[in-house]
Amino acid sequence: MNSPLRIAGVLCLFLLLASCSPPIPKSPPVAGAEVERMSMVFGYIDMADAPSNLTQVQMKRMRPLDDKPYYGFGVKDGLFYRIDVPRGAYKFTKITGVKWNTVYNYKLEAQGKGDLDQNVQKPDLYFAGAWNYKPHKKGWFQQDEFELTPASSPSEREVLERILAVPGIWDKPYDLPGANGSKGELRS
Amino acid sequence: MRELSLILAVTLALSACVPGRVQVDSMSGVGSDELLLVGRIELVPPLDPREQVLGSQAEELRGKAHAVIAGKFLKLDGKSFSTYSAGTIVELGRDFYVSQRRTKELYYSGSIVLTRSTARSPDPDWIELPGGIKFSVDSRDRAIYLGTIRYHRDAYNGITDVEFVDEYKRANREYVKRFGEEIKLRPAFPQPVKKLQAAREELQHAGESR
Repeated sequence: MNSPLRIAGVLCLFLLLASCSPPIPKSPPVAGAEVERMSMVFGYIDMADAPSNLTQVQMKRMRPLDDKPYYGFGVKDGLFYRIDVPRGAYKFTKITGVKWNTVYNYKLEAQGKGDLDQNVQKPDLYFAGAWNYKPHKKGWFQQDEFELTPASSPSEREVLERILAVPGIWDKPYDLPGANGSKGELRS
Repeated sequence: MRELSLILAVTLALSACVPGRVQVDSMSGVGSDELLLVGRIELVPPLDPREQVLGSQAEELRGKAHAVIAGKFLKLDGKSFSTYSAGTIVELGRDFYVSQRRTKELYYSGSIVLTRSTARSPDPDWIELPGGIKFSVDSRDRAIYLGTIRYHRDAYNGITDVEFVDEYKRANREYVKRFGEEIKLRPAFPQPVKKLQAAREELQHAGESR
């Protein structure tokens, strides 16, 4: 996870995909010191068994403390990704989905380091994993519960390939498709 | 789901208006069927003001813990963390003095509210401080010392260790200054942590099987 070779590998993969995919992604319009400070956090959640799709993923910067600690993600077909993540300890707090006109908020474990949570120590790629949404019906008058269980696929490489194939992903790297806002906004 | 969130937010907003038990500053505030409890809760590393997003109505919770001390074990969770009349708000790192209805055994649980639910931000957030801690009460007790419960946490607010620190000498000096020497403050320390954790799990299983 923490090797500079991985970044180079992904860039090669990106160039390879760029050369053979019809929607040609533009090179990221960020460079130099800015690139060196950034990390990418990404993953995948299969919501096939959930009552909604996936529209938002939110994580909170726990350390160092921040006045605006909440980070939204670009979300597309279960993929989630954010490329401008600074150093820190991050906890995934909530995922959100929509079905018809109903917004579904799924609160994640509030305390302790969960399986998705990341400790971003230096610029790199941080894979939060591939997960399946598993519902637990609780019956009438009780709120259903859920858990995220590890998915056997897609792999980390497959998730990256799918993200890199998202049209327009490099057009506005700070205004990611599906992110619905920028760093620091509290969203319900 | 949205309706449930709204109901939860309203419930929490209403429950936040209930202060629970208030701290007492003289023995006249302790009824004949009650005890005075003295203790302290600490968090390591300490809470930073930026960690709590409370809004003006819940500003009283800043730098404080919500302690529930009752005659039976109460599991605190997000739905009920401030709804118990047995609850009291105590300042972290300072001694508390609260009255408690007399029972043979006392159980402690705690939490710290990090984000109070509001219309704009309906997701409450809190740190649960492991409870299920039992103290035995003697029938002659009028005032008992529970000790300092020191919680250690990691960057993700996971509780990594719980210490029970005996600061009786210091606490008793403060107690005598406030309440005089007429009624003795008896130390009533809990069992060792491992036993407490086992007891807590046992209580949880018992609660689930009911």
